[in-house]
Amino acid sequence: MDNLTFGGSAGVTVLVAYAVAMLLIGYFIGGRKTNARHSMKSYYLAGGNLGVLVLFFTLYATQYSGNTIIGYAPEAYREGFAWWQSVTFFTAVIAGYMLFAPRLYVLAKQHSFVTPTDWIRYRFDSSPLVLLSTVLMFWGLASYLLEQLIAMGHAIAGLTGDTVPYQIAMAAFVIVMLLYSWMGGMRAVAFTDVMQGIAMLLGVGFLLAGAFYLSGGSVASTTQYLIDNKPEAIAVPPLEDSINWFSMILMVGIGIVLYPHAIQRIYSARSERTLKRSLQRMVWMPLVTAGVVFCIGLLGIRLFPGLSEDDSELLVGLIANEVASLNVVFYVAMVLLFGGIVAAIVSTADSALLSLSSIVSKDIVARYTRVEDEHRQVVIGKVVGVVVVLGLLVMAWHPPATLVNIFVLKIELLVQLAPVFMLGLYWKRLAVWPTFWGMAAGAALAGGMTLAGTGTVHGVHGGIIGLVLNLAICVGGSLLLRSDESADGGSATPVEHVKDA
Amino acid sequence: MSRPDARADAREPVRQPWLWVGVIAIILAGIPWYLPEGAITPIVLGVPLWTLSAVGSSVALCGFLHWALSRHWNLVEDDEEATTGPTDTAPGERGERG
Repeated sequence: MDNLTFGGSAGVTVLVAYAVAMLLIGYFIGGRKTNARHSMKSYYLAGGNLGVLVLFFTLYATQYSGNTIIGYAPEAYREGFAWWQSVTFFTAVIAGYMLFAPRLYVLAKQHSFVTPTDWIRYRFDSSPLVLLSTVLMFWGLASYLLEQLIAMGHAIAGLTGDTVPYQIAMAAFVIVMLLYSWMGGMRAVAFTDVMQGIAMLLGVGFLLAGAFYLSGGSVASTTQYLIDNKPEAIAVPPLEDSINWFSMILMVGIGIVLYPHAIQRIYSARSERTLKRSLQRMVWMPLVTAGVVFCIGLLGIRLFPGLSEDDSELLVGLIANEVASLNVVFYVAMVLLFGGIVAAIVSTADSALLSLSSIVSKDIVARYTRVEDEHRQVVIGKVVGVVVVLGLLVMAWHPPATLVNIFVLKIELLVQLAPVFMLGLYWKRLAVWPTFWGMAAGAALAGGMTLAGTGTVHGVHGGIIGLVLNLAICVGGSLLLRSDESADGGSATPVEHVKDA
Repeated sequence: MSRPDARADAREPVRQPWLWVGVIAIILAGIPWYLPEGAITPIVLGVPLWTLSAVGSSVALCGFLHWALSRHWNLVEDDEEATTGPTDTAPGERGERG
């Protein structure tokens, strides 16, 4: 990675170009439109008025980070064909949206929801449940942000061959991200997502074409190579791996849609048709993103055989370096891919930051302080967001392994929010306290398992085991509860528009 | 905007149990839990048949969900398209409706 064909000054130039483009988008989309920064709905949800194209790209950026490229190709390199599961689990995310987005969208429009917690408060009217949900979401977002910051630093340092050091890279792009997010809110975030989405899609396409050419250009010969040299990469995996495969699809399919910034994209849609059409496009993206990255990882087995686990993490850079050497077209494409990967990480981080700020503005400042001016609530949310990011930046500067290990807990915890959305929308008898204790027990079990190093049991992820416990408590408890509110089939708060599915 | 379930012809994916049976069935068909560990042959179109079925399952899942989105989701779309116009439109967003 020290002698990248496209690293050095070319890499720095493209990074500067992307940074300038993001700042210009922030300025022109939000900076000149002061109203965009004054109201919560406008700043955090782009006025609930995103059209098909922009909504599609911002959903895309929410689901796929630069990490999807630089982290998933090495997974395919190490695991072999079993990593095809990444395509299916990203497709399952759309099924996850279908479980609750249609009804949540309507209710969000009717009741002007800004944060995911608005729904929970509306449905359950329970401060403890809202608080627990907020803690899980805040933790999930902070963990996600930290991961993106570290990925940002490593990607830039690795892809420029350390021309730009890890810390400098991270700090510079955090400043860029904070500036354009501050100026433009959701509009700026969504429009930078369009830029990164296009760069990433084009870049991985060229990367696959180049890798395929370098590996001989034949599927059959690549298969034969794998059979001769790494048969486990292409053989049927053990049953436990198959169980793990299914468990992963469930956990990601349910978990990713419960990220607060994913839920807020449902609120941001201009109309039901807009949301539906964006998801219809999204449903094919796993094939052209995770599928392409998977193929690149498999081809890497042939192009760079025998890499250790640590060295395999550099696979995308190694392949991109070879591809860039082919000719000037591939060189330019790899430079764009390089910038696209960094932009993708930044624009995934900005979505999480914006969502985090919205939770502070709406769920904390507006609810628990005397600040009544909406503009001031937004500003306080933005300031807290900046402080949190700077705190995470300090953690990411020299990431201590223990802290990072604690922060790996994201999806295992977020998946515990599934009952409040996916059951709460349709089942009136779902009661407050069983839901609270189910969520707490599920999060404690899933978190405890992960922190104890027992990520899976017979291939089933801790997050799914926690969710089963969570569901058992909230469904069993709600059925057993014979209070007035459940005896007549009602809920803690009358929900006019919810009826049993 | 009307209630989510107010219209008699309102369609919602969660109310179609067979749709979810289909999703699970397609996913399970793509996971090689039913094949002996370590099997590679037969090779079809240059790749092991089981990998081809996994890829086929993923493509089928994409197609199935695309179809389900278009046919089984319509709560307020007709009302919105008939009555609501875009508000607070952002630069570059004009004309995207529909």
